[in-house]
Amino acid sequence: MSIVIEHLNYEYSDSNPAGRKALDDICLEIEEGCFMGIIGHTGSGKSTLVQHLNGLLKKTSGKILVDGEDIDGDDCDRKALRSRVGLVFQYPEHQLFEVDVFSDVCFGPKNMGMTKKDAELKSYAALKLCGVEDDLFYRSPLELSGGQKRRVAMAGVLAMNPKYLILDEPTAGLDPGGRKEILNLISRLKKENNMTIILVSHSMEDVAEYADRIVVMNKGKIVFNDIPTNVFARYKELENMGLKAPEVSYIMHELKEAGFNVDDSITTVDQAVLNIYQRICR
Amino acid sequence: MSFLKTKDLTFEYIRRDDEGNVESVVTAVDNVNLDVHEGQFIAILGHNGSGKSTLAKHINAILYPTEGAVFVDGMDTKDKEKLWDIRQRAGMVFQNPDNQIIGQVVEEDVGFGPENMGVPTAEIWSRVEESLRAVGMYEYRKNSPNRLSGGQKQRVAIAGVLAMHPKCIVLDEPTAMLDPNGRQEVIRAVRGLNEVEGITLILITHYMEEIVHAHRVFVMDKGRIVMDGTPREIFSQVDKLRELRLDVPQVTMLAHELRKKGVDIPEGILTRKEFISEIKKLYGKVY
Repeated sequence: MSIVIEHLNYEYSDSNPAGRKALDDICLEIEEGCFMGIIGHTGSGKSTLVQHLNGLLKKTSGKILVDGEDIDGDDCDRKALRSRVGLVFQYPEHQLFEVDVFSDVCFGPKNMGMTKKDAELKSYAALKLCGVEDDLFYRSPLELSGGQKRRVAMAGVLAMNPKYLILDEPTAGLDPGGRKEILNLISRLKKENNMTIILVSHSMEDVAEYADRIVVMNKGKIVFNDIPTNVFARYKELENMGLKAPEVSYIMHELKEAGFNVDDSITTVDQAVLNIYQRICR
Repeated sequence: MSFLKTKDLTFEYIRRDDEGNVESVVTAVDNVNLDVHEGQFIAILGHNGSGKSTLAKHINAILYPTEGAVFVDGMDTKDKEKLWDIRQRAGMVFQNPDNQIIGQVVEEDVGFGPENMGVPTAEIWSRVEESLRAVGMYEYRKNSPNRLSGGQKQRVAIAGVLAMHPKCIVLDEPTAMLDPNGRQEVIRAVRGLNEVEGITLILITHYMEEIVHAHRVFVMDKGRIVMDGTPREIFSQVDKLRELRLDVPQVTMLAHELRKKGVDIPEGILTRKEFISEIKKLYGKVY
């Protein structure tokens, strides 16, 4: 089972010819159980792409199949689709609106048609999973800190029990500690709950560390779709697209240029520490 | 010369119920004493909720101290008559450029500040030009801000502040919403303003690599200043920073981890160049 995108095009309806084509012949398969990172500079089409996956935006042409089902088909149940493909927006805390945290999280599953009891059980489990403490349940969402709000908003999506979880820059504006907590939570959802993760990010360091595969977008097209090592090996091309490799990749390249026999395809600090220690320091 | 001084600055968010009784008091800034000199590049770090933004809002009199005092260029921010002078001297740039760009055309947006201050028209245009040139956005002066990238928008916002001829710019997470390129554009632009024009910079950020060139770094926790030093002094304390939910640049972390394995590399490595030269010094002769 997977999400399959075939020749997807999306054009804005306004008549500015330069920026009209937001998505240009996108073909992509997102396999069940993978952790896919999507990178690209602002305006490259990342968010537009992911908003197609649960039917928030309607394609101009092409096809999107979720577990084999055409999401634009007449018989497609959109409500069911949106619980299967959960989308956490950038700044999800802007979507919190209920009087207290618990009601806010319950809104999604209730709206899906779950009974009150089921919705509450799901919501409780989702809040726990996201590490939201019990004593926050009846506080107003507006009183929480940035990191807490973000976890509550994520719980709201998780309570609908999605199989595919899309996160559009979930760590923007969080401190490094909060960033790590959210990313660890996402990676746990993948490992323990077997959720498929699609992470849109501006942090090369984060996708290098967490994603199994990276899709690079530029001007509405997919330019690379590969494992992190191979993607970041093309760092010169990435730079031309307004991106770059993680800092540690550059260190490895420079060490190699300086004549040290290190592996310059490395993309995370942990690997680099080990490699430098074994190849140089011993 | 001292530009910004806070004296025992404390700020409390006080919540009241319908009858006006105090429900809760949160001390967001707790007894902070800062002294920032003209022309310095100051960085403020701290986790979400540590009080950084609350502190920053005191610098151009958006908030006033509950206790203590703030002096900007010698003026007490509580002095209502000096309000406009203070806001002109210390400009502010926020996280989301979309919230502070109002003009339909880039040059009009940049001209809004000086126009609002009553600057004569001819001078407004010369200020607009010099500000846009300083941030490298002059060729976009006739564009609509909507069509710009995040980094470009943020540079327009900075130009808008610059056109008021401030002595100091306070930037509250100006790069949080930008891609790597946009982040670099903004940081380069503001460092240029500091180095070339001598503008005092106060940069609040969660990106550790943006502050390695700062003259001085303050780290906040629970409203207090808990660390204070040069980037090297601050980033030498990896474990303490982690306790404060912060981080260090990747190159600093790499050196720190190697050091833990017994490699004789100093703490507080800040740049790739330093790292490579230390490794060469230690192991270069092997080749």
